[in-house]
Amino acid sequence: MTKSEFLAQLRRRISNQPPEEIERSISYFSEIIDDRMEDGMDEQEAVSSLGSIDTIVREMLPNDSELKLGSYPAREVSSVRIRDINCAVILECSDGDVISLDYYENKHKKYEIFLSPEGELSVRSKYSKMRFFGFNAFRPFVLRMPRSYRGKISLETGNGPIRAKDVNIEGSFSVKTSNGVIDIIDVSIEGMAEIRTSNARIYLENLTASHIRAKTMNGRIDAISTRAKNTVSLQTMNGRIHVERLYAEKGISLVTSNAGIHGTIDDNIRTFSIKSRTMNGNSTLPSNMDGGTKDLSVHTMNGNIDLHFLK
Amino acid sequence: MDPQLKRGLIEVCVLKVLSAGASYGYKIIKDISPIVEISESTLYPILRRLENSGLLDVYTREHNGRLRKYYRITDAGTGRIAEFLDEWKTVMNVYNFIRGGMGNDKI
Repeated sequence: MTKSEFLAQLRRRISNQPPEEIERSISYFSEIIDDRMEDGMDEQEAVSSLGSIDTIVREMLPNDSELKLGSYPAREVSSVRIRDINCAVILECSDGDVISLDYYENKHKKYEIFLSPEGELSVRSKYSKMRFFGFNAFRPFVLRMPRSYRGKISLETGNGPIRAKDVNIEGSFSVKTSNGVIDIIDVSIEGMAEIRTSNARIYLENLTASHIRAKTMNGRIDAISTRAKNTVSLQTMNGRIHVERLYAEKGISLVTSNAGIHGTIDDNIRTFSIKSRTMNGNSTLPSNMDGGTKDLSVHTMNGNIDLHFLK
Repeated sequence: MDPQLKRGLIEVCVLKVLSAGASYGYKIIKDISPIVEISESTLYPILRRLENSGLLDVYTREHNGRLRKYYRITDAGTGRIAEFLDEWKTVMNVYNFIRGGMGNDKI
């Protein structure tokens, strides 16, 4: 491994630390590698003599809570289910062909991790005393997987955000939290994508799936370049819905109550049969239009509907 | 060795090394390695802790066209070494007692 590869990997592995901590650690190891090379080692040697990145990460972090690492060959895992609470859950891609878990345990919180003979990897957090520690009182749970994964993913937390970025999943994808925002960016799913929170926003960008269902309450929904082979359904109550270049092969449903619905649909209006309604607002859509083979259903109570078609 | 104990000992070793003059990460490791096994990643949080508790301070200086961090012992750091030596008198007494109790030939 070269110095810059090592530092990039290290940066990724400690990405859940505060930015100034990350820079400090990077400059420390960068300096050590430079010093070793100045002392006569070649670059590869200087890097490899630091030891494994897992050990480095484990040792350099503060010891109040302990970083744990789990790693499983991706081909032996048919599904991953994570059930956590009071902390963020992050899904990102890793190099190589393993599914790895980074998580912290301390005296209040432990994880039960179980891989069934059928390949179902199940992770569940356990608290020694069930009490409320505050939002995000714990460090995030990070799941890393190969950029392309054949199985099924289910991520669940509460009082914490969920973030997924840069993965292709052949199975289905389910994301559920409450009181936490959800960001799904550059993710492609062969199966269904089910995304659910409450009291927080949902942000989708470059998400493709067969069906996309996103639901929150008291939060806005953004869907940027979101595409479905079948249907897209975005639903909230007290929050606006904003879409950009939204596309679905079979149908689109956008529903809120006390806010507007606006943006662009990457399609021709004539491909749709439209049902739309707002009670106290203006709309750019006809309230009832037959004709197209796809359904477009857009409903709010107190807000404007301002949707435009790009084709 | 108990990791907690080892960390504590390394802390004082770092201070001792620095009491001979300011030094940098790689050099500190080289100086301590013959006494107690240490890696870059174990030294890192130790330096942070010593800095946070004011036992050393840090400055940056250019070296061969790049920046290098130097660590310098503070008065509080020097005080910590004295404190360690004092505390460990008791530990040494206990050690000698146990060693005597076991019989020298068994050690």
